[in-house]
Amino acid sequence: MIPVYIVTGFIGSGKSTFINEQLQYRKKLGGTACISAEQGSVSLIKDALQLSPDKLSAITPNQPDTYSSIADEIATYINKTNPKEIWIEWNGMVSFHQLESLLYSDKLRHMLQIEKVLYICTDQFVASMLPGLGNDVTSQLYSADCIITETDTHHALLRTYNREAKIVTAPTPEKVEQLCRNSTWGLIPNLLVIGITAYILLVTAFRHDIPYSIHQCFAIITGLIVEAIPFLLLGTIGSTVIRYFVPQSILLKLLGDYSWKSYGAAMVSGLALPVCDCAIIPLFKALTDRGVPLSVALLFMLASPIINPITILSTWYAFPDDPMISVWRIVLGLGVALLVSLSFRFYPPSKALTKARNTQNLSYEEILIESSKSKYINKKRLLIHMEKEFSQLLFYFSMAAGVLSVVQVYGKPWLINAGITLPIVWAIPILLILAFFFSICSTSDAIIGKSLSTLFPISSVMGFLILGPMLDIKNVYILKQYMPTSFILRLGITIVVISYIAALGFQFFVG
Amino acid sequence: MKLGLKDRFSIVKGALYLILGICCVYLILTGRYLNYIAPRYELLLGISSIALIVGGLATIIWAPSRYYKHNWRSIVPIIIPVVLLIVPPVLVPNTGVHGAARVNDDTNNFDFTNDAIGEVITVNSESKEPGISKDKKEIVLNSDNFYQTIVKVGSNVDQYKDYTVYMTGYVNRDDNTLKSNEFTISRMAMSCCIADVAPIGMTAHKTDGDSLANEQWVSIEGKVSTRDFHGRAQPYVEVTKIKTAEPILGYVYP
Repeated sequence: MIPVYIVTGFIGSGKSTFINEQLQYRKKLGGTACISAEQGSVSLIKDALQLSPDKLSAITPNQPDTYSSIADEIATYINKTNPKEIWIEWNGMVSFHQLESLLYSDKLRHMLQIEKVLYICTDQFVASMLPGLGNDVTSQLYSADCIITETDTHHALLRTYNREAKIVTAPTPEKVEQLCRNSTWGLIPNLLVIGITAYILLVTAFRHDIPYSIHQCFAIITGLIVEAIPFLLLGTIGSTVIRYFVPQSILLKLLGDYSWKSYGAAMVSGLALPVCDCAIIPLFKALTDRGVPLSVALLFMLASPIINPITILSTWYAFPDDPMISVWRIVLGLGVALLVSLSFRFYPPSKALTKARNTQNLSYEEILIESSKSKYINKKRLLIHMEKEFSQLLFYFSMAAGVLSVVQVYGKPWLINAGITLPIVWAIPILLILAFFFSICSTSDAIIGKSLSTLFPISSVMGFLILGPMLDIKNVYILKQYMPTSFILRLGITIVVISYIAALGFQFFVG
Repeated sequence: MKLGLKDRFSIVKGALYLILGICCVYLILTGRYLNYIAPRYELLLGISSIALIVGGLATIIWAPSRYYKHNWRSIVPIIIPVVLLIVPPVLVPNTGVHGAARVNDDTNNFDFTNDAIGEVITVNSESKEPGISKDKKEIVLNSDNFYQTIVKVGSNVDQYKDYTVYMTGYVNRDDNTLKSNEFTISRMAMSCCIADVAPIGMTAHKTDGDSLANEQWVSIEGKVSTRDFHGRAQPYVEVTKIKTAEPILGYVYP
């Protein structure tokens, strides 16, 4: 296999100069072949196989006949020059996937192996042109192992296009040679291998040597994930339906303005959605993306888990001797949800606070689909969208499950043994904190609330029942995928304060 | 498209989804899902496992042509449950009262011909009809009605006063407020998933109840009476007959 180094970047960014410097530094000109797809002002010091950018642009990745002649041309060139390594100067405006389909074609994939992809850019290009250039350029940036810049001014912006690449400022040829030698095998695969090996050893070879509580933690994580998978799938499917199939006009007609009708619809639509709160958050994101006002979508997200029929039933079931608990839970819960969302209506957060995080974090598949410019929603596109959303949700959920399991196994016994008898002013905040950590699933937290009601006054349990569905550790983790931390912080504080007041009110007027 | 031209990472990802789906099917078929979640999720889990299998197959079949860069981050969340399910942690400690899938179910044997503790009676087994019988003034608890019956009795104590109660559970002394001859006859209840497993039971009293070891499994016959607990009437079982019982390895569900 011949190692291949790919240098790419916008025209005029200095690709040819860069390759020339490398080749001179390496002093292996004789064994090196060059392929160029760019017609720049500087020419390569080594005679290169020149590929026509027009022909390359015409490549359709899934159709071998569109690129087999170019692959033949490259194969012949390689057989003739018989090089030890190959440098490719790729055209800055042609999608990286077209190069991939060429190099991974039947002809070439047994001859060549991509060793490194280097992206070269000037500051001026990043600042003024990159954001407007579209997905062919983005695909190159995304695939780069190493991004080479003039200064470090724009590193943060470049990071949003490629989370893993090394970003290097004006490296010497020696440094570049080192970079080219480093392994591409990244941090995550290493951690995965270490983590899985450690886990398997722990629960097999050493299973009797570790305390049972560790097993319990793993069992709880598994249980939470198994329980959540159906709801996360439902959430993903629901949000995909809202995103691609519900006509925008209908959505906006129902939820599109600040009228009482929109707020009312947002509040009661949870009745039709008997799903867990982790399924609601993706819907919230899909709604705001489709142009529903933030405060209306927020009301929908906060109210749905409370007005969910399963939640109502389980509350009824958990407090059979006091049916008013279920009624008050709905009334106060909806009240808190409405106040929180109105606070976002009348004191809207700054634009930066609500700016969705993932606008630029498209996956490669999505970049390629976007660049294919077909407006037609095909099944592959839906699958990719759902798969990405599901795996991201599952990722954040798993992290939350890890934290929860530790709290559950180690925190809870400690808390119960502490034997707390507290004045009401303190009991409420304590149960609000408990709700944050223990209200695992809004459909079942009534049962946890019931068991707490033997230890704590009923008004603090009411606080638990109100806060739990709206805000818990798992919701925060899932929401983090979509919204910036400062937004979640404001939302969390507002919910806690209003729930506290609601629970106090319940104490004075009802309990 | 030929398999060699397809993106291998997408194929791996699809295979992982497929395996996850198969794991879920396996959990349902063997009943092991009861170790993790309550039975009412069975249907949801079944549908999800089909969705995962279909999604996995589609990911493999529709895999795009090969990519250079692999997004490892995207497969981490699928690997976690796959590994946890294929190599499960120890779910049941060697001793203690935590449940497993119903390995040995309750025998529902409430024959107290020999009232001595320490002896398991299997002869002359007299099976009781489970549930609450108003005619016989009897309450018989088993794994299927344990949770509901206790909630029902707890919320209408006066109605069930002086009923005879038959139940099997373990002696639970977690409640520090109880006297030494009082204890709770409990089972582990799972309301949603393994994260919320907690004991549920009835407070009981036996004159020489302090001789019973914590976490010992017993079958009892008793009379329902009430006691005042923070201003509320709570059921309180006066144990009349008791015997050791085989541990029932299973949770009770609401």
